[in-house]
Amino acid sequence: MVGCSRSLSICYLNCDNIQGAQHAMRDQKVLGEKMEEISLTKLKSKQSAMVKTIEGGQSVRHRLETLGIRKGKKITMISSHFWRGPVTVLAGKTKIAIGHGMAQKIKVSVEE
Amino acid sequence: MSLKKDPKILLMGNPNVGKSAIFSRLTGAKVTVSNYPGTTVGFCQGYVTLEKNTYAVVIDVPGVYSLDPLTTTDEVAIKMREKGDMIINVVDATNLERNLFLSLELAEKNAPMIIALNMWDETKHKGIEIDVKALQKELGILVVPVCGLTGFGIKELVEKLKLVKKRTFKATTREEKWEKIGRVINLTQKLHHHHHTLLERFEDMSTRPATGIPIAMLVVYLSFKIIRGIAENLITYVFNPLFDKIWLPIMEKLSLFLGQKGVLHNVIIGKLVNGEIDYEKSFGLLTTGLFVPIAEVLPYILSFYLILGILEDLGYLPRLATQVDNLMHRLGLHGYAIVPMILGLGCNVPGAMAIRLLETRREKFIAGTLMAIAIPCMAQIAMILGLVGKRGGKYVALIFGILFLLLIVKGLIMNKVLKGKSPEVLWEIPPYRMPQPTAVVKKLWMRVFEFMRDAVPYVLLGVLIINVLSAIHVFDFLTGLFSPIIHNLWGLPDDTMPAMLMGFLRKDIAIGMLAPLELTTKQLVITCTVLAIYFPCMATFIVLLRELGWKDMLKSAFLMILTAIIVGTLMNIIL
Repeated sequence: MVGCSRSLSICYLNCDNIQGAQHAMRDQKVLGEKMEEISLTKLKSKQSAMVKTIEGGQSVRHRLETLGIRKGKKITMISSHFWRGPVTVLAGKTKIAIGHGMAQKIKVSVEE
Repeated sequence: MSLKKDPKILLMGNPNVGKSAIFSRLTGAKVTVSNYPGTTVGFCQGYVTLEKNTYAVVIDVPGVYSLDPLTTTDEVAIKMREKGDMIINVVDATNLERNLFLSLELAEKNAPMIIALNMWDETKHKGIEIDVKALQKELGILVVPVCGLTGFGIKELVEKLKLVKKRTFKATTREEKWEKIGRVINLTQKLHHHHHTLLERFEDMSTRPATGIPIAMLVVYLSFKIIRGIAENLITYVFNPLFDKIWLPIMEKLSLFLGQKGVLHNVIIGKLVNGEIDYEKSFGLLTTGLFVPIAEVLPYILSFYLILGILEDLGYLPRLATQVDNLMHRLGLHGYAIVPMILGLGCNVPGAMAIRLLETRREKFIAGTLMAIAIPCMAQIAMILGLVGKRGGKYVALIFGILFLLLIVKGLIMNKVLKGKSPEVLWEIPPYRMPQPTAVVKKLWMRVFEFMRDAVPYVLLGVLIINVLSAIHVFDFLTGLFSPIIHNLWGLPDDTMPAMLMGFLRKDIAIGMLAPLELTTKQLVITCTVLAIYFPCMATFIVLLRELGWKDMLKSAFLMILTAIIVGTLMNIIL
């Protein structure tokens, strides 16, 4: 939940009074409950998300890991191709093309 | 310098971090450097001078993301690591975090090691700030910032090689490594916001399918337009005048000296057509034998590799691969298989070598077979354009149209028939980099030199063989043997037989042999198509055999011949 705590602290800084901060906290809580894991393929273009789990074999997981896609990492969708084509994402400073099937096994949660 | 005592230095790192660029800087050796993962298959070695009279062998190892055999398809790299005395770990400074995983793995093997922090110049405009001293301290490994493309830092790297000592690192798990990397990155790297450059904007456009697919079509179309434009201009203004104004008078004198006929004259100058030397029809070693590879094919090789080199160094190929991935999956391949196919358009030999990039045996088989059947090399394309082009552009289009159709149909069939399915794609899309003119020219020169070295002797040998065989009437016998196919099924005259035979050796000279035959347009189109399909040239066959193995190569060859017989027959009936 690294993403949540960070956006929370930003909220505190931005709020003028405590009430505002409380609102922000409540919103964050609701959001936190809403945050569900979706497939990477469901992301829209330019949307960022946090990697939660990677299903599938160890080999796939390790390969993704070495390309910078692992639990807790932020990735940004660049584009997806029609007809179950590959998705391209930005992980760190690297752009990566991932096959549709593999991308479906990557579960992410969107940070608002 | 004794070969045994020289220490072995391995250049290791992730794919596309610029190992080959550093290799060629260190050793002065000529190797292919491109902007896409997997440029180096197999390995190259060269020498670096450490001090006066002290040398080390430097080996350019194919890129790997990890030493873990689970993740790595390239066992060569893992096996080679064990044989090195020292490792230069090439790290992409713009992707430090990800690259350090391999660095830690390598360090734990306890070989003396130094890190070359490559692409140092790019960190500045990418808003990346790395504290080299801190990084060195945290890792306990010497770190030298370098730039392989410009040569920055290479001298310092060589000097520091002497300081590298063996160190022992504690073995850690994957999780521990990532934790350590996280710590190191926090301490040593700062990211600043930076504005998108024009190239980066174009990067996004060529990645999204909505804009990327039209861009891909435009790039391919323009590339071929430019390739043809350059090549035709080279032929008209450079190579034809060279052969007509300078070489022809020499040949005419030689012809007179040799008495204008006789066996020796026919082998060296060829037969005179209406009392004159005809470069396309005479078929002598010094006339047609030189004219075909140099005046007809070389201009296309030059312009093709110029454009390919620019696209490669720009980093366009992985993007093209992403755009065509959908289509390629239907052919039983994945998008990256476009790379060997495009290389194959230049020459099938490097194309066949690049098949090694593909992971599964099934993919290799499909890619190899499709390439041999449907991807004509530039030598073949140039000859078809030259010979068939005279009969009209639509016939050229017909030949390439049929080959393209075959690519699709054969792919669809093989994908259906062969067990298994094409693996999922997972590859890195490198950032666009402005091609460096000197690098592009250097690569172009290397490839042209290779063509001249490999093609010219083969063509000359082919011309010689044909002359000898026709002098001793061997063709008459073979023609009788294959006449049922050539004559009855394909509707071709028996005198195309020598060309068909020559096609096993080289396609360009084989098509060149059709020039004097006075074939009808239909016959010419069928012969050119069949010549493209029925078998790869000798050099390609040898490489394919190595990549596919005997069993798959036999199956593949059977498919090629079968396809050629069917397609040739159908064309004979329909056209």
